[in-house]
Amino acid sequence: MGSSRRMMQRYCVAVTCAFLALVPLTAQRAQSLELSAYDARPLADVISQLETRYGWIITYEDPPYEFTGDLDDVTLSVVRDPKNFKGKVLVPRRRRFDFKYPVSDRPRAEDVLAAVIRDYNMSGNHDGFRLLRTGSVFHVVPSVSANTVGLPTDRQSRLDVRVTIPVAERSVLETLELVAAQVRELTGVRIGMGGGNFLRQKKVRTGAATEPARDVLVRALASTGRDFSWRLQCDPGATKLCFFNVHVVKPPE
Amino acid sequence: MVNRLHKTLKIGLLGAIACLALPSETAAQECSFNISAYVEYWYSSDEDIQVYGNGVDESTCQEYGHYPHIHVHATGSQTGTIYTDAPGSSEAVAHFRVTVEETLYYGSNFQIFCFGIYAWYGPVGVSSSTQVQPPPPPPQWPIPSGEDITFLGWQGDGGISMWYQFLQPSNVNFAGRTVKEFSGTGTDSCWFEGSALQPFTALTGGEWPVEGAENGWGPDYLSWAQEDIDYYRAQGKAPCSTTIPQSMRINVPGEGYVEYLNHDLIFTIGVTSITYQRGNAEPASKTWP
Repeated sequence: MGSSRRMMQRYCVAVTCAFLALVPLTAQRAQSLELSAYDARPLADVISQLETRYGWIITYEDPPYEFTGDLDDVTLSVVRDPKNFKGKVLVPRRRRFDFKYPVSDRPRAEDVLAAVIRDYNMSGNHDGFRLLRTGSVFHVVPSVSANTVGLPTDRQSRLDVRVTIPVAERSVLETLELVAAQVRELTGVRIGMGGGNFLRQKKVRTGAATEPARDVLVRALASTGRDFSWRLQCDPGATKLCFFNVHVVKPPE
Repeated sequence: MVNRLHKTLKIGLLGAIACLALPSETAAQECSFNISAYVEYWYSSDEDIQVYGNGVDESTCQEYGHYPHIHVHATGSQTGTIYTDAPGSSEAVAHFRVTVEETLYYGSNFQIFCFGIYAWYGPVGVSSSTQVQPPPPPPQWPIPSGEDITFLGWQGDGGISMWYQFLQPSNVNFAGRTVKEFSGTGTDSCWFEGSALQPFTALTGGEWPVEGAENGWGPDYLSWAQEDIDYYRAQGKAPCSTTIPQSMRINVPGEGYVEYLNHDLIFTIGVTSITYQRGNAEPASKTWP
């Protein structure tokens, strides 16, 4: 009897242990990633949340927003002196985007990003995106947006164009500016390259022979040893200027 | 009346022997000494005694690197009775207080020596304690007290301002070290919701070597990109500005970078001009473009 009780106790201990071991597994499976944004660029916002959460480097590029239905006129809230201002301040229309994804503790970036883009493209907006990759850097680039009369129009990334730069040692900022100058020449898009002391001081010896502009930018930024990402965002208003907004992606906490 | 006595004395040192000019911030070490020596003495009055001698340091001062050969020059005044027995008597005793006239460092010389017309040699026992100062400290890594900021001009006559700095105090050498900027979180009044530009509220973080006898470093470039200026003006935002805290730090081996200055950088886009300000320096302004 004593022996059978001991057996029973052992059995119960084993069952309890097995149950306890299962609990976190079940909890892991039940985890889901929920991200929301209500913004002029909701996809960029969600991508930024992913960068912060996981430390992935994910660049983003605006599609051309040409259709008035995709734009908000914010002139009155932005302009300092509306009485003497001629023109309009236009920004992409604010939209909501909710993303929910079942994840494990270490989700794969390509899986999550593919799901984000799929969900966004199916969310009823006029713009759509696709995912590219350069080494460990992911790029969310435009694939479609409405034209001036509202028709869906295929779009290419402005950074798909191939650039040629003589091999030389330059500052990283100079290298970025050379790429931007060639992109402007080839696409007509003027890109502002902001850059502080760090990018002025860091030197890189590089060049390019009919290479996608994006790859040269990735290489130049990677040479600094920091995890740089960017947001290539454009003015849908009168200036049509685009800005190469760079930032450093920090490792997840 | 002038007494000129020359005797063999047993000299008792009363009170502490104090080192002169000990820097207060340096921790001195107490050590005792016990000297066996012949001492000559000479004094011209009861109140004015000078003792010089040679001796061998048999003391704990040696633990601190003190040379065993002792040199001392002591002066003092009589504090007790002097018995003027016949020369050669070992009974004569003089009491006096002495002050060491040199700063003693670890490893320094400390000598008793003798002089005097009527000098008379005799055995003497001297015992007391004194403080010995540590040897000169290893190279220090001073922290600047601030900067003198100079506006150098506009790069290539364009819209990028250049600033050069001189670390203070100027009589401390900081050359060969590195200064680095760190960013605080700023406020950008040009930015608006939906803007194609992201808020300009942080610095990327440059670093510069400190060079020359004047502790100079630079240039520190302050500017908006030309496209930024064009964009915000076209949106009717000018005049507007961003203010970003800049923390300047200098390298200290073993400690990383230590802050020596924290001030604001102000980047202003005017309707027709641009203005940049670095800390408390005069702002640099020009009509642009």
